[in-house]
Parts: sequence; C-alpha cells; structure tokens
Amino acid sequence: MNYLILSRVSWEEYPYKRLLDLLPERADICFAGGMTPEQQACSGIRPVALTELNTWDGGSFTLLVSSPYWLPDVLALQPAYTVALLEPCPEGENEIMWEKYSALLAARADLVGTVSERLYLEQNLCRPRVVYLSGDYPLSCGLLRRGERLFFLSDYEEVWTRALTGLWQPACSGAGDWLVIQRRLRADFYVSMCGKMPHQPTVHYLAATYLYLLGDEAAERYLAKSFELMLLHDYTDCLHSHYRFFSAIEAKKGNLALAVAQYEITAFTEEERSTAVQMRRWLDSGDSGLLQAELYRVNEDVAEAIRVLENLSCPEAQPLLLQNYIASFQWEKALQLQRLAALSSSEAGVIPLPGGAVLQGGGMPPASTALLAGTEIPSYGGVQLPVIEGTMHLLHGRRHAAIRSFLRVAGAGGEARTLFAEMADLEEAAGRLKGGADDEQG
Amino acid sequence: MSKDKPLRKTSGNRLTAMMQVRNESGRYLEQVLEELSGFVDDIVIVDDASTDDTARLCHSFAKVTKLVTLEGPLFHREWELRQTLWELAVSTDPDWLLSVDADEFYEEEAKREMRRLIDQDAYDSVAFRLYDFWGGTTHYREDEHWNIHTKHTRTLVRYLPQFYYFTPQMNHHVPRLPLSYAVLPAFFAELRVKHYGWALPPEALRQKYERYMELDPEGKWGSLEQYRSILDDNPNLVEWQERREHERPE
Repeated sequence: MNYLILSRVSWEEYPYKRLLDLLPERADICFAGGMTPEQQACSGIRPVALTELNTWDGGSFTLLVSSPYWLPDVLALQPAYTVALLEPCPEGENEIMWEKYSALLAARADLVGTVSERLYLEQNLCRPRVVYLSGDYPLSCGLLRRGERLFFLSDYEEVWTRALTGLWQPACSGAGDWLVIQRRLRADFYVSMCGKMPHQPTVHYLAATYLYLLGDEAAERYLAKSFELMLLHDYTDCLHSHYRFFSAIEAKKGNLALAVAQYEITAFTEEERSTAVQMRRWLDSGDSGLLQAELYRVNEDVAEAIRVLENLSCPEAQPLLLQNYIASFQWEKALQLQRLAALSSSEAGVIPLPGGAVLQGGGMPPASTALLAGTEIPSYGGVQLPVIEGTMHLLHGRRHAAIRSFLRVAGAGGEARTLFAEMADLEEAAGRLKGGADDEQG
Repeated sequence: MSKDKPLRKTSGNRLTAMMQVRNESGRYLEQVLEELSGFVDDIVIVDDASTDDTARLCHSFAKVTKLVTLEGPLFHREWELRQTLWELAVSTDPDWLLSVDADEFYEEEAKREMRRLIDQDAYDSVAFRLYDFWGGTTHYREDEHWNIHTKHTRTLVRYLPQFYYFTPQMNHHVPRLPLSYAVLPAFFAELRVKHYGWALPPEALRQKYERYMELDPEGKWGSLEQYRSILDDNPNLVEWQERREHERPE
C-alpha cells in the first residue's frame, strides 16, 4: 500500500514517525512538504512538492491527514482510503473552526486515530472505526520486523496496524475485533483505577463509558457510583452527563420503558419535553427501533443511533437519520439522503416528525425539523441546509456555488457575514498550512 | 410511571408530609401535626421506638395515614432511619413530599403558598429559610455557628418514581432528603420555617449538649465548636417578626 502524509507540521516535528514505521504493507510512502536528504534516507520516505498534488493520482494511496485544513485536498485527491489523525486545537488556531473541520475530516475518513482520549471517546460516539493512539497496557502485544529492525508493539500500535490492514482486507484482518479489544483494555484500565481511587467520580465515569461502549451491563454500576461521588463532592451539574446516561445504558439493555422514564426526568426545555412525548408515543406503539435510536441520540451516541436507523425501513427513520448524519458531520451522506428523498417526493406519503408533527406530500421534507423563524430556510437541529451545502461546495473547491448557498441564508434574512468570514478564515488557514510546507521545501 | 399520569403535574398534586419522631410527648408534635393537617394531604411517620404516648398522639390525627413504630431505636444509625422513612413515604405514591421535623413550623405565608409551589412543572424541589429559635419561641439565634437561615434548606421535593435516589450511609447528620435532588432544578423560596428544636430552657440546652458530646465526642459528624456554642451564656438573639398579610416575599 502507498501512503501520502498530509501533516500539520514539518517532517522534523511530525509526531507520528514511529506509527509510520509500523505501517502495514509499506510501498511508496510520501510526505507532502520538504525533507532533507538525511531525513529521507533515515525514514525511507520521499517528499512531494505541493504543486505535484494538483496532478497527483490519489487512487492508489492511503492518506494520513493530521490537519483538518487539508480537507479540500483530501476531497480533490480521491484517495483509496483516508485516515484522520485528530488532534486537539493547537495554540493560535481558531478553536471553533478547527473543531468543525476536524469533525468534517473525521466524517470523511475511513479510519480515525487520535492520541487524545477525549477525542477518542467523542469519536467513538460518532462512528465505529476509531483507534486510540496511546495506552496504559504495560505488556508488549506483538512483534514486527522491518529489515534489520525489530519492533515490540504496544497494544495501540498493534490495533493501529490491524485497523489499517482492515481497510483493504476487511474480511481477514479482524480489525473490528481489535477495536473492541482496545475498548476492553481501556475499560479494564479504568475499572482497576476505580479500585485505587474509590472516591474519584471521573474514573468511575470513564469506566462506565467504556463499559457502555462495549455493551457491558456493569456500566450501570460504575455510573451509579460516579453519580453518588459527584453528589458527595457537591458537583451538582450532572443531570445530563450522569443521570441521563442511565437512559442510554437501559436502552442498550432493551429496557426501553425505564429508559424513557429516566430521560423524562431530565427533560425540561420545550424541545426535550416534546422529544419525551414522542418517545412515549413510540413506546406505546412498539416502535422500539426509532425509540432506541432517539434515546441514543439524546445521549450524544450518534454512532449507535445511526447503526439502528440505517437498519430500519420505515419512513419515520429517514428524518432521524438525517438529523444524526448532520450531528456527526456526515454532511455528504445527509445531502445525499436529502436528494434521494426529494427524488421520491412524488410518491405521496406522510412522515411523522420528532415532536409529533407530520409532513404531508411524500418522501422526505426539505427540512425535517424546522424552518428558521420568519424564513423559508430549512434548518436541521440548528444547522441550516444552505450552510451544509455551501460548506461542502467550498471544500470541493466550488467557490461560487458555496457563495450562492451562503447568500441564500443572507437573502432570507440570515447572517451570511459570519459564513463569508469563515470562508476567508478557512482559505487563510489552508494557505498558512501550505505556506509552512512550502517554506520547508524552500 | 403510569400512562395516564404525567411525570410533572401542574394541578392536583398530592402532598405527603414525612417525619420521624421519638418520645415527643409534651413537646411540639401535637401542634406540628395540627398545622400540617391544615395544608398537606397525608402524613407518614416513623416512630423511632418511643417509650411514651407519641404513637397514640400520631394516631389521633386523621391525616396520619401511615405510622410505623420501630421495635428498637435507630437513632445511632440515622441513615437507616432516614431510609425507612423514605421508603414508607414513597410507598404512598405521593406527588410531593414535605420533610418535617417534629419541632418545625411553616410560617403562614408558606402554608398559603404551598399549593402554588407544587402545582407547577418547572422545578422539582423547594428550599426554605430555616430559623433556629433559641431559649423560647420569640427569638432566633444568629451568629457564627447558628446561621442556617442565611442559606436555603431543601424540605419539599417532587417524587419522581424512576429517579436514582442516593442518601449517604452515615450514622449522624444525614441529610433529611436524598442528595440526588441537588441535580434537579430547585426553587429557593423566601419563605420561612421556625425550628423550635433549640427553643429550650438552659437546663434542657445543657442536656442536649451532653447528648451531642456523648454521640460524637470527637466531632466526627459535626463541629465541636458548634456543640460547645450551645452553652454560650449570651448568644446573639434576634426577635422574630411575623409577616403581615401585605408583606409578601418575592
């Protein structure tokens, strides 16, 4: 397999060098940016000028991308596979923009890796293929020979190589199992920490989170302990983070009536209350798939919600799926779903919406959740459709189409100025990234 | 939760008072039960193995719908006592619970407002200002160690059947209601509760001090300084002012 590295920093500062040594089936490995002859000789990696990328045939490459501002290039290169190496927002970057485009990069990626446990957990709630590139497991988990060199692999390094192999050999690598094993190792680590730190609510919460991700019923016990410790420490701002989490655990166990009752206790805003009413309707009508998905969504487990909804054939699943695609920044899938629905809109039908409303006229509505107050701009979970369209146009290099989409927001009384500012900021950030790489080449 | 009963009702809420008592004969219990009978729907009581006629007194009030008399006292295991009372109270399927001590009196305004406080769906608990009356029923104490009225104390809570109720397993100074209510929205009412637990003559105060020191000689469950302050010769006392009808709190 060929690899192309799209880095945020110069080769000298590149933090994933050891992971590159462990890449499976290494063939041609390239670094977008400058490298000295010594660096090339040492690493066995060759530099690629940024100008070359314009004509690069990405189809036979796996991209290893560690800055979200490479995303337009990722889309243009059309690689065989994309691996997003997510990092917390570096100092000096606009955090909102970094988080947004990191989420879009992760959504576009076939595999996500990160050394940040916060990001690892967040991504686990958004998609299935996520690797934690750090760990606390003390034993070596594998051995790898590269020429004269012998590598003893830690747990996450073994998972990393297996997960990459799994991209092009999904049937035989057992990569999915390795991702589960990694969750189990994290769960075991935090369970052991609970023994050492019995009064620490956070370690109990993390143990509960990993056990929940594994579908282990012990999650409830650790969450309960964490909740109690929060109360004893007088950390009372935990109704959603802790108590509501019980409802996701019960949903996973299939105890839907209890899960709904638990969610209802946490529902205070108008939106939450209408969600609770809809949940109770689904409970009464036996629509367990929709109900389960919604319980996952309100607990921010979008990955699990999508998994359930993608297996449902009822029309009510479509608006919910769209909502979850948007929440997890799978915006291309969202637009695709939207287009498919528009195509089938001639087939009459009625779609119930979250909150109890129905939409007449068949297919999926232009917007499933709401129209922006006083406008005809469709909005999904607070994100306006033209913003989604415009962002995707921008990332695909269709600048004028992006501007047209953003102007639709402005034309309807919305605020386009921030969108144009973001557009400029993104172009500037991408320019800075490449400028840095160019400097290295120079 | 049953299908036809919403979790949070804005009308028709049933209010159950819950209290634990022990040898209350000749103190304030009768007066407290009389007052409670005027504004709650039910009263549930755990009698912590009284040896006087406390149980008979409780039974004489029609609104006392549940009374459990323990065979042996749980005073030294307060957590168990609180838990027993809680389980007895929730067994009546209440909408709201008012935790009352046998020497606490809600001021008139609080009693009048009680229905408005519970017939709403915005918050799940109500906290009041408790005043420690000292030496009699005309003055409350206010100093470094006696200032509970400067904060709010949660005594009125909505019962939510599937909620996770947690009460720390302590022998003394156990919170009167599960700690879990702290995460739910609360209303802090500028309404007052008179606590007559210290409205005692000097000799009775000394006996109370000695009992505290016997139970907690090292100040494990409370402050030794506060225990000692019970014997202060000249505590700072403030005269209680009843509110007139038009002086409604915000």
